[in-house]
Amino acid sequence: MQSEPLPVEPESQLAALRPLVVRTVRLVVGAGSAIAEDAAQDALVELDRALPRLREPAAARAFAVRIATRVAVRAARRERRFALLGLRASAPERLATVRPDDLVELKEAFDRLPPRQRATAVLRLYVGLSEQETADALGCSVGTVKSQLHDARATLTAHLKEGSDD
Amino acid sequence: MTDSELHDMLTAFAGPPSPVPRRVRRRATPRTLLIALALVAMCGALVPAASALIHTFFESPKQFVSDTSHPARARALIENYLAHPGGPIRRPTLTGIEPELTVRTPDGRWAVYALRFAGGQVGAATVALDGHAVGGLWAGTTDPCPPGAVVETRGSFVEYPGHTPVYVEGRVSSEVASLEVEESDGRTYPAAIGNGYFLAWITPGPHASKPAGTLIARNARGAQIGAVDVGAGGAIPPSEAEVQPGCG
Repeated sequence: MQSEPLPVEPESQLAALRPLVVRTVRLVVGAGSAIAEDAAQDALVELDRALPRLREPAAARAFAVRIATRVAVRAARRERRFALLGLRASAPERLATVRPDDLVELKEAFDRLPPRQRATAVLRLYVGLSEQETADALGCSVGTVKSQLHDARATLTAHLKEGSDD
Repeated sequence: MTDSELHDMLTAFAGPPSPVPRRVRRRATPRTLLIALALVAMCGALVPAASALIHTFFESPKQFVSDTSHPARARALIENYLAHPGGPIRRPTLTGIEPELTVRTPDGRWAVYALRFAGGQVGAATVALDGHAVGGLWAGTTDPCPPGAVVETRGSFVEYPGHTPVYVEGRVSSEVASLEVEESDGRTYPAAIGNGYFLAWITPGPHASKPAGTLIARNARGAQIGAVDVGAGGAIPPSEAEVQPGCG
């Protein structure tokens, strides 16, 4: 995801940051889940309230990523608990109808990763943050970011290998 | 698995730049209402008979909690569930509990209980009777082991990484004679089976917080029917010889 200079006005900043926030939350919570869309909305509301109070407009993007990540991980954990209880809010609403099979398989395996591993992968590989920026957004060390990403790759590789063996 | 493949997948599923509006439910038409009325009438005839049968095996939550012959931990788990009706999404109303398994594990005794909820939902509770106070339950809207599976994992958790074993609980069909968890280093742990339920465990090493293992189902001849990853969960389909697949 490309990073572009942000406008100074909070309203314009929110509009510019919306795609980043919405897509980050959606990918961490699980694209296709109604809960992800609700969480994305929650993150936008939180960002809308917080942006006018932000003293350093240049930090708005990092600030938005932190909010999106926090809201998404919280929602993803809640979703996992509900999944354990069999209380998913609704059946996933597919955002796209036709996808190559391997992408769908990878996506399904990705959605089964722990929320923080998903968040790490999204921030590093989709949003394009550095290891340090990812660590700042997640409130953890760079070493943790590396190990989370390593674990995510290993789990996904194992899932896909298992799938291809069947 | 490369970063590039992951990036492609994430980009493919990133979706539109704004939240997708939730679907609006259609208004009920007269035809829908008629069908609903017919279903209610059918349920009126069928539910009392089914309920009578269920209550011969299942205790009500109140009976269970006050019955001191049940372990205190199990009664506390149910009492806790009854005392906390849930957050924004209301938990289903628990209507019946039946003991299914009590197993000696490396972390003390564990028990599995079958649960029934209002509205036809089913579930199970798994609780440590000794040692750390660990337990949990789930409720599902469908039969946890529909035709097409001989093993279906449901609840699984680890509370004290490196100390408490990882537990996996679920349903198992009569085709399965034995279940075991095999770690990547070849160590195996036998799982307990009874009354259509199973409880499997895997003891992590002193530093391993996410032990990996495979749950393997075998038939009476010792032949492997299938396997499923402990961490990912899922179901094992029946072998081709199985005539009437399904748990229970």
